Amino acid sequence: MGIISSSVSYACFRAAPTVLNGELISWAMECILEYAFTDEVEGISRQLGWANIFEPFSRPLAREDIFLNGEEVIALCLRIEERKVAKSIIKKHCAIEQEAYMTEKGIKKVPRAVKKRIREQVEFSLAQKAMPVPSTYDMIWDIIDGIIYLFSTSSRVIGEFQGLFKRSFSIYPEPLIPYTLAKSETGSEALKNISPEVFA
Amino acid sequence: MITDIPFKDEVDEAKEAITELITEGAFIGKEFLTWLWWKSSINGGVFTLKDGRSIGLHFLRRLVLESGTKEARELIACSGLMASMKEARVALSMGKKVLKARIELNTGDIVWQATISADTFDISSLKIVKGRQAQDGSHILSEDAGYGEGEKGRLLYSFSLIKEFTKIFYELFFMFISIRTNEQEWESEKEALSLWIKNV
Repeated sequence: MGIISSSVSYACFRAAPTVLNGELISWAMECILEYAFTDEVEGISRQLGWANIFEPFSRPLAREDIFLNGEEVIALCLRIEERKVAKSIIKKHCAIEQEAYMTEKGIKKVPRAVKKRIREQVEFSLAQKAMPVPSTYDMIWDIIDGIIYLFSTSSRVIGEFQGLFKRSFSIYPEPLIPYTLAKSETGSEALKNISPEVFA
Repeated sequence: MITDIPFKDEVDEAKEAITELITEGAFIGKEFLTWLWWKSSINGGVFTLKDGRSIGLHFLRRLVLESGTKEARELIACSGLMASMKEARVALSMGKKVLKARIELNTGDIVWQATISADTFDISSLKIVKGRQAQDGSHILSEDAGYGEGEKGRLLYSFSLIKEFTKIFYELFFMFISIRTNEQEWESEKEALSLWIKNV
């Protein structure tokens, strides 16, 4: 668990559940399980989904590991697995395939559309041979305050998280950046009247 | 001047709107960190929270300052003892503002250190350098803090410390934004801040 490390990095988002308290657990469980991480789907070079925060690789998602402190906290892990192939290997195999194509057709240049198709086929076929590289990121949803803590500050991971969260819960997690945080305190009208200041 | 951008249903469209808000509203975060540095240096680093608690806040040895945007963007990184951060103060006098800072927050029983990004409010490398302590000086374990034992207790205890830091940080920001959006209050605040910058 990244959250109990001696040093953590995180970004916050605002999201309030759209159901009543009594229905929270059944609603959230349904949303989470629909997008739970599934191991080894053949033909997929990239997978992501929710996993158990305590043991993301081995323990299945269970209600008692997700809902902590009563119904106050939802704890999950965003698990991403990607079959990565080095660019130089893709380049090498594309060159071999393009050469074979030219020989077969008796031409000296491969058309752009064919080049693109060859590259896609090479990428797909090499990805199948590569081992998926796993990465995991803890997520705590504080239901009482309506704030999500995602334990990553990478813009790529944040983008993946926002997409998966929206698909799962039908709620867009609004990043708590200076503007949105200020708006929550003063309202947007007050912010329309301010512009960058010069102090010096 | 910044305008409110309504969120649309699709995640990609929302992300575009957020990217725009980060760019256009980044000045709020930079002005806040600059204000926070000034405030912490003139009041001995003591701030009073809404609940009456006094907390200590100090800027640590590393600062990144920025001016301009896009091609005209200029960055300067300074490190050293905060008491003699003259170069950083000179950079302020040249129109730069604080983009990234490492701060130490002290509530008496807990001390955190973290790096704050002004444009996104991402929190990086948050460390709890002094945890809650028992009367005999020993660290309170998660079960003693009322979070139960085992992995769940450890997670909830860590999260409670992270959440407390975040709440205090947001409260400091709310102090700033209420002054910043009040024309009269901001005029006198700005004057004092500008004077501090000039007196380097």
